[in-house]
Amino acid sequence: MVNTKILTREFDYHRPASLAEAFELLAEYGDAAKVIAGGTDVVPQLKYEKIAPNHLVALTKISGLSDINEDSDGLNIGACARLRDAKQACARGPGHAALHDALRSIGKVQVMNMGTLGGNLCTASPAADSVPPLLVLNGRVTLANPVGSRTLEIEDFITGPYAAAMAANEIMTEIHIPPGPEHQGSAFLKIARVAADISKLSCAVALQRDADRCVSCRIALGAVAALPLRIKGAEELLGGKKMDATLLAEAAASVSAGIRPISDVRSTETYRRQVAAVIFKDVFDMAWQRAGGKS
Amino acid sequence: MQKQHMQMRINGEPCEFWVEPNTLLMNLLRNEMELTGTKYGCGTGQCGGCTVLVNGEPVLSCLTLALAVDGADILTIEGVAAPDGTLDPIQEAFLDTAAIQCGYCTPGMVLMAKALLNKNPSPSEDQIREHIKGNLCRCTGYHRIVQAIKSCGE
Amino acid sequence: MTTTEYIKPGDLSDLHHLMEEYKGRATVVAGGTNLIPEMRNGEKAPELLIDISDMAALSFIRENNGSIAIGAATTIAEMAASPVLLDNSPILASAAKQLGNPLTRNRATLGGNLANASPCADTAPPLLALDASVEILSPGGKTRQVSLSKFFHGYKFTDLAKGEILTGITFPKPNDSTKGSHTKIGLRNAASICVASIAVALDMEGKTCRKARVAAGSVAPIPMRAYRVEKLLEGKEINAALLEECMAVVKEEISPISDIRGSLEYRSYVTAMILKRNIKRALKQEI
Repeated sequence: MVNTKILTREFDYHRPASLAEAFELLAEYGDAAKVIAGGTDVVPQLKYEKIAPNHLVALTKISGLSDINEDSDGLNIGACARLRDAKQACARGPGHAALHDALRSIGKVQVMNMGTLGGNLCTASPAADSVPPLLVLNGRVTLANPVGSRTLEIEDFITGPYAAAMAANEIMTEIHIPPGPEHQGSAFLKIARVAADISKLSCAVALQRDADRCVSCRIALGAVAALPLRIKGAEELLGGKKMDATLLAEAAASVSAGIRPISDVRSTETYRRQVAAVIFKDVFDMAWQRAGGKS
Repeated sequence: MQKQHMQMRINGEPCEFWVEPNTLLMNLLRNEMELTGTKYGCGTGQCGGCTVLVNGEPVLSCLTLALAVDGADILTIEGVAAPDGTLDPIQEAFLDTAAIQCGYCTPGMVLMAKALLNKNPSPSEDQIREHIKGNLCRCTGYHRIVQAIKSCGE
Repeated sequence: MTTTEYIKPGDLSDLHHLMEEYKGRATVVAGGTNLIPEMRNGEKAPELLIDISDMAALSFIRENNGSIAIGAATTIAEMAASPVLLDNSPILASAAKQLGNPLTRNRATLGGNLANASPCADTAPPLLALDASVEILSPGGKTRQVSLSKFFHGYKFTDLAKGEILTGITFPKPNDSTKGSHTKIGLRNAASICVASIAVALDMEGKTCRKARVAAGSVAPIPMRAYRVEKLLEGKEINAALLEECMAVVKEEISPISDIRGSLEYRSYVTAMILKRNIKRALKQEI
């Protein structure tokens, strides 16, 4: 019987002090091991019997994994940095506004204190709020393995619902967001039932603006397909064009047509399709204004 | 499953335990320590009824493994009033404003308020609402809870 | 509800006559707090009710010759407030106090709670821990005694034969060296069918346990004694390590199920938890 009061699954708990030690544990236990950081996804998965590990490998004692720093190359957020610290880091630069909006919207204080950005990405929920902003802001993730590391664009990292291109012996160490071009504006909005809730749908836009011309634009939506996705049709429609209400409406229609929503406990296909067009326009306007000037 | 040793301070008192790794902080507090002020509401992190402060920060104890807070300072609702029973001003405010109906969300709300006021002594109504959005109340409609917390501002 | 005939005997000889006349056809009722709901939902449709709730002869709590006797028609409220029980067997008073709510307790009786034989019967675990015996009246006026630990045969199935009536219980008055404690876990503080309960009665000589009685409710088809836990405790000095062993053993002895009030896993976890808690409380010390 699914139990939400106690954890019925029995497992051993390991808190390696270094990545090397963590890799040793993963090598020893293989499929029977599950990595855990804040636990806000892993513990519910244990409670709902979605996973059945014999060993939990906690990353919270490994120094360096929660570091956040910024340089001319961009913003680097450690995979185990708490969401509240990641949010604070994104507040600094206008180039990270969409991610800041998203982290603000994930919202509940307790989850911001416990959860990590790395965890949000590795769980790879189709409704993950951090993914659409990272898609439009050209985010990259670094995955370490026992002998080195590799970097992936976010687009290549998330491969399907709750599926990421990460091997069993890899550990995410860092999320990188480049500084972005000049005159960039970005924004993110989500629709949910209550203030602290999983998204019905979400939208992120990052654009580069020159007076009344949209130089380039990236659009991504979450919770409206098997994975968060970019709407390249709408992006092409707007790229290089002079903005006006008609063009924006055309782009909104293209967004609506480009998504593949389903009906589930949180919303219906019809609602998602209709509202996607509406919040896309709102998000675009916000990004446009942030890029300097009136819409 | 190997038990592991851990220690922490609960409401100022040093405690140590041998716990099974699958012990949740919420159950350690409620059952081992018989501190039943921390509530089991949903068990899945949605209602906030299990909120406790770990090193001053609110967390969901129903999703926290006890071993994950080894070495931490825990504050539960039982630790909010003074040892001699004198209520915290936040608790007085909840009483004065009649911000309690069934009382189930109250421990979580009081601890959230404490954490907020420690960081921001004079929060606006919007800031308060934003801060408590992870704590559900089925009875009051939140209005008096927000008023109670606002009245604690400087 | 279908039509039912109803008779209220005045005294024990009336009762004997009725038992002879109706043999097993009649249903004995006292407070009716189980029977009426069952009749309302169609589970039971007795032809004839014999109401013993007003029989003074069956309503008593007394102490005599080193034992305590309680009549079957004694209400749970009377048990909860009884100075005899509060002084001598507080674990029984504790269980009585937590049965149902004040309204239920004013009507429900000890006899009904035991004869109904729900695995969750609140008075059973303390009575098992007190080594209680059941007094039974058979047709023809004969009486017999059965140890409560042999009274429950299965889910809602007791040693009572057709036509027999449970008339009371007795248990040896606990001496000063007996320490007891009781906990009921429910979904609420009142009006709550038991999720798991533990009653312990420990005969202590200093730190050593001479005799242990440990009973559990709602975690098996019947209210049960945890015999293996008792054997583990007897003759030993009770310390933290022994308590951990007891917790592991009690989990093996009980056989809880998952139902709307809780899962098997939770019942198992919480029974072990309250076993430890009650032994510590009985000894009134940190171990």
